[in-house]
Amino acid sequence: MKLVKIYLAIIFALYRSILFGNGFNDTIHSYDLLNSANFRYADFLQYSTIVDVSSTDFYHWKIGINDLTNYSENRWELIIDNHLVKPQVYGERLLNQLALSNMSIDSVEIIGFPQFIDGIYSDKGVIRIHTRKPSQGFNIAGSVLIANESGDPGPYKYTDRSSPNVDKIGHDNTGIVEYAYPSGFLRLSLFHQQHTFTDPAVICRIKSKTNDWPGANKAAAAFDFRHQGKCWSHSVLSSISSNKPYFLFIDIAGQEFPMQTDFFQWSYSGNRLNTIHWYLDYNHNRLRQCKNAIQSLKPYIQHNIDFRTDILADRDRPVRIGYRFVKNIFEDNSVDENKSIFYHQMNVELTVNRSNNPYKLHSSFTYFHDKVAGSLSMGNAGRIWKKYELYHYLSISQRQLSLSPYYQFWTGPGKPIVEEYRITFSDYPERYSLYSGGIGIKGHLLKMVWADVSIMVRYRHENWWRNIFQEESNRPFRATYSGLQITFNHRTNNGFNQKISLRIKFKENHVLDQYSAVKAVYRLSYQADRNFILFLNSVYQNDETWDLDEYFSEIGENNQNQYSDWVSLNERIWFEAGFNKWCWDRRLLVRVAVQNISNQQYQYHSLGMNREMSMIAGLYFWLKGS
Amino acid sequence: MKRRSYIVLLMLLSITVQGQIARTAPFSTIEWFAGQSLTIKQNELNDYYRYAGGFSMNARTPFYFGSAELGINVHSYSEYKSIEFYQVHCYLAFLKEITVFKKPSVDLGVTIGNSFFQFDTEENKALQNESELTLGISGGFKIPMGYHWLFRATISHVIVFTYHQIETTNLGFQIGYKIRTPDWLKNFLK
Repeated sequence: MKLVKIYLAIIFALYRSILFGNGFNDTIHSYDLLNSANFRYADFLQYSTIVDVSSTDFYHWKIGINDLTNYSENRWELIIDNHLVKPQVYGERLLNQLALSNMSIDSVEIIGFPQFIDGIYSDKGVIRIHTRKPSQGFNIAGSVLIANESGDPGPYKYTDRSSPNVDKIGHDNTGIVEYAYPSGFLRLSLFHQQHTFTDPAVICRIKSKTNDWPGANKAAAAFDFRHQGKCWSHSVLSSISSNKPYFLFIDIAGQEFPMQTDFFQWSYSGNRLNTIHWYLDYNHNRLRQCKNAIQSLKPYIQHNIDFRTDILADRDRPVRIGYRFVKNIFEDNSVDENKSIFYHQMNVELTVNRSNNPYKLHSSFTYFHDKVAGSLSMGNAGRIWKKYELYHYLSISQRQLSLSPYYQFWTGPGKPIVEEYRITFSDYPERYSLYSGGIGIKGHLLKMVWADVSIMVRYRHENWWRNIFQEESNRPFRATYSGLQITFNHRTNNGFNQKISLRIKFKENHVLDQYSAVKAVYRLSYQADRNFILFLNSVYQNDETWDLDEYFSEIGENNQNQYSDWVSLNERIWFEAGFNKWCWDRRLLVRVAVQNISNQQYQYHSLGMNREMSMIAGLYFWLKGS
Repeated sequence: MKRRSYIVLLMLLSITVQGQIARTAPFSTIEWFAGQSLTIKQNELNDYYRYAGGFSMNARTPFYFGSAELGINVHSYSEYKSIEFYQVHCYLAFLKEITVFKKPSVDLGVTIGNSFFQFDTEENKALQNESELTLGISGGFKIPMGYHWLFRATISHVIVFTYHQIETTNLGFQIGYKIRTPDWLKNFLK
């Protein structure tokens, strides 16, 4: 009888999932960041099975969340404590150029389905970083991280067996001063990091573009202020970062360029009694030419102003009505007139049945250049039987534009790249449709084992990619995707914690959309006591293949792209191990870890640098005042 | 050979992790050791240099499920077909000690470290030094001689992960001195 009830409950929930849904996120906590051999917070994304990453230098990452974007797109949104930040050039979001370090992070939420969040409707996924709240009084914190890769010439340096020097992951240093009072805090953070592109896989391509020293770096500073009053809350984030004198080597639509950038973000958000929210974000992105550039993109300055507000209309049956205005201004010194683009967006979110098993219904309408885009999504998460929760969502978008301003910029001041490389973008896809849905169940399988199983199905229709390579083409790009994700987490009373996540994609692949179908992550940690933790992590990804020549032969055009020799990435297995030792009443943390223990040829891109076995060592300190 | 080394390292790591059954009070004592260290087996490095001897110093303390050791080995290589250099190997080891016949003990564990190759820069200012990470396994036999003094024989196999990997086997004989960890240091380390 009990089984029949369960069965009926699942059938009912499945039926309801056709209408309502919610879920499919991944959250990375600060202890996850510490219990791994990651050097920078962006490195950690490879441990999430809902995230696919690609990189030629493992400094700049292309990130796909739950297959919501193509291989080369990087169009997820980035939110830090309610502030929308856009450190980007030509649409490439540069996560490592943020004024942020591992020390500041409390958790990273990866949202892997279309959702309305902090006044933004995103159908490409969201990376939402929550920073930690400081302890009361004055606090000083800092960290020094160094890394050393294998593969140097060593004592053979001055012999006939000499080999090129290997120096990639450089140092990463942070200094933080903060003052916290009962209802808020102020925080000043300073960052410096270094990365070097010494690898035969990329050095020749870099040398053909610039004579500068091949390295990336970041010098950055951030100022945070937060105040939580009885009625009013205010939060301000200002940050500045630069990679002068070095550069980033970034792939844009199949062409690589060295770039120097300066970013400035100023963001203010607030709310009154959590009913009225407002957000004002200003992002200033400046692209400079490298000093000794042979080939580079045309410099420009982008001003991005993003204003959002939303009002909660009814507390018992909440209706949240939101408005968003976005304006982009592009300054180009070679033309007299600046290019300006703006759009308006209206969002409505209704929560029904709030007290018992709430479900959310959200709609979004965007007005942009006489075009209207719309989306409708529904989500729910409800307890179905004792310890189990069923969650599900359904989302439909029609021409819910990515609205990444750089696409418009390409047809405006960005003429050189069009002329030199015959690449064209239309202003927006002629047609864009996204139908997405998913269902999952999570709960305790046994006393100490937590499990989560979900299935997602998605269909995308657009002509975006065709237009990059073929101006006249109006044939659509279609991507169907279905995926299964299984996660088990096992925790024991004597300090062992292990988590295994498996993601399998069943889909019709597009030749330009070939992330691994199978990704498995295993994480094991042993906590001897609260001050000593050992960890062992492993990532498996099956092979990735591209065939651009086949793609171009399909559309009847010669491949003029420099990536004609893209072939494949073999299956990869990553092992890492290390420990964290806290000392001095947890004021001091020593981190030592070895990445890629098996020293396998490990790449994130078939034209990318090899990631050798490397050792990282870090020292963190926290001095708490009063 | 390479693959076998990795398997041995991983197995030792696994044994170390699971060895929490016999946990010891961390940082209760410190044992200081110093002595000679000799490389008894090495690979193609001999084609370019002549090994001229070395010494080692280290400190060991009980650490949860075994011992932790912080050490430094210095090896000198004299000029043969290339310029002379010093290899300074700094390492951290996790070891599991087993007591035999009441007092003597044997230990086995894994090491992780960094080797600095310091070339004769006095004469060749333009030359740069090199550093490279190392992994290894280490074993030893320790005999207490009275309350404080110790004698220890060690053998270690270290892989230096240079482009052309260097595998060396080192034999060492050390004299040690054991002290109770001062409270301030114990509190700091805990």
